[in-house]
Amino acid sequence: MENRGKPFDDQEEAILWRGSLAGDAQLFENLVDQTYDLLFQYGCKFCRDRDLVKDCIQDVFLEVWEKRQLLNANIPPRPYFLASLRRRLHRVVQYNRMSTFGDYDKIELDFESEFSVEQQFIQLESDQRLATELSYWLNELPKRQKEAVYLRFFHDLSRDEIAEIMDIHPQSVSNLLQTAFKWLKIHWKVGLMLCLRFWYQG
Amino acid sequence: MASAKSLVLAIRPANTPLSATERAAAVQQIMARLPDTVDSGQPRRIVRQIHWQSWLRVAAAILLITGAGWWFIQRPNRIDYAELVAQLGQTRVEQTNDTQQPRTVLLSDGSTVTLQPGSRISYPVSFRGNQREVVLQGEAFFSIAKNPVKPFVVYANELVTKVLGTSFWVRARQQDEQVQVTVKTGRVAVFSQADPQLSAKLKAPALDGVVLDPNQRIVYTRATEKMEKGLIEQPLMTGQQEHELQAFNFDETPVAQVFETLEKAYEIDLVYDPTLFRDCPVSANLTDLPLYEKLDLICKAVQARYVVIEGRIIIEGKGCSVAP
Repeated sequence: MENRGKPFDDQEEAILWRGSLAGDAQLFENLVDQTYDLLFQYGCKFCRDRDLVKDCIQDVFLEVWEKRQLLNANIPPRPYFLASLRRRLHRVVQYNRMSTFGDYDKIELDFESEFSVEQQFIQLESDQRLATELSYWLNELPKRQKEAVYLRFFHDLSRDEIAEIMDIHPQSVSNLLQTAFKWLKIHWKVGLMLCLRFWYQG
Repeated sequence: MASAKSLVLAIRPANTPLSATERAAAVQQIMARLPDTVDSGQPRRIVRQIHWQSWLRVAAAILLITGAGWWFIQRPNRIDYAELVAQLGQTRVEQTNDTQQPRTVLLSDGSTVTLQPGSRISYPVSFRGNQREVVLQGEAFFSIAKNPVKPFVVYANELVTKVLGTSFWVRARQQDEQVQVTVKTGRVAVFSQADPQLSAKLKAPALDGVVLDPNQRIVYTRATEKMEKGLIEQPLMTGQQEHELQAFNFDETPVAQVFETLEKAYEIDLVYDPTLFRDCPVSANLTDLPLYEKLDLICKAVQARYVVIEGRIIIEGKGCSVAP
């Protein structure tokens, strides 16, 4: 559950990834176990059918295992998994829609995520109000901006990694994030400070 | 606005609940579906929720037919037993194991071949010429008499295995998707039948090609025509060192020395930085544990990790600082 607070150990993950690609099933199992939550949470943002999400995650991992000789051992695995899962979900949902004569134009999957405030992290009542306000405005963001913000700040992925996952140009990622911050800035003056903070990270 | 950070920390995306047991079950299901590299079983089936409409079925049928035709044309060249025997000529004997037990065949040079059930081998009555050539279909364990001037060559499906004197397994069943060679002792060289320099490499006195050491194996996937070299799943100690079993009882032994002992006993390369691990003492009795469990324990003790890459074991860690 806890994707935050306990950051992924990149070095350990790199070892698991290399070991998996070398054919070590035990390391592969650890890698699957370590990244499952992340993929599940991300997948559920696109699709309410949790069994379908699980099926797709399974397919992603089985494909990784089958193609392990062809994969690059020196890339971080998490963005790769996320990108594969996103593509696969799109493909499957697209299939389902086509086969039930759904409307062909709208095959773009929607990213649905609700941001909420965790009470236990807030001491002051005034902060509570601010946080609630911020989460409200985050929830009002357009879907693609929301997805970019979600990946950037809640999963700590880089601009290029997000570009790969969302299958868009890195510059488009910057644009999405900047538009999101501008929008937050207008609507939420306290956000200014945060925006500056994020700006220099992004 | 010092609390800005804590504000952001307090906001998080809503999570879909996933219990630990549910996740564990999902992970187990994935692991259960991994195609086993040893017993290449049935190709996996992917569960997809597709609601087929009739026009889609027709389209799929057409695709399937053209696809099958394409596959048939594109199919890589499969080489079977009969072809190989015909190529070699000479007067040959054939032994088939139709029983349920392994059966050992003695060759004229003193080598033995233990045929697994349902396997057969073709060999000349006496080995003449520069090579000892046999053809295998199925699975067998070879124990080859040493003769450096007359290499022993096993043809099995698309793989060619050349040895000077050693023991090894070949698994090349006709219907299997993979061909495997696993070495128990000594060294062997493996080539693909498709290798353009095959005949030259076979004649050369040295072992060219992909060379396998003990406890290494090669897996050739027939569909993709790819060879993959790796360690076997449960590396065994290579014979004569068994009397040294007590050597796995370590008492404040520097870990580098422990690694050396393992390298010798299993004849496996361990790659590590000797200077880093120079000062790490280990006390443990590792006798009777499989290799990987031994490594697990040692690595835990010195806070290192290991990865198996290309038949070698790479050990990574920060080494040991002076104890507090």
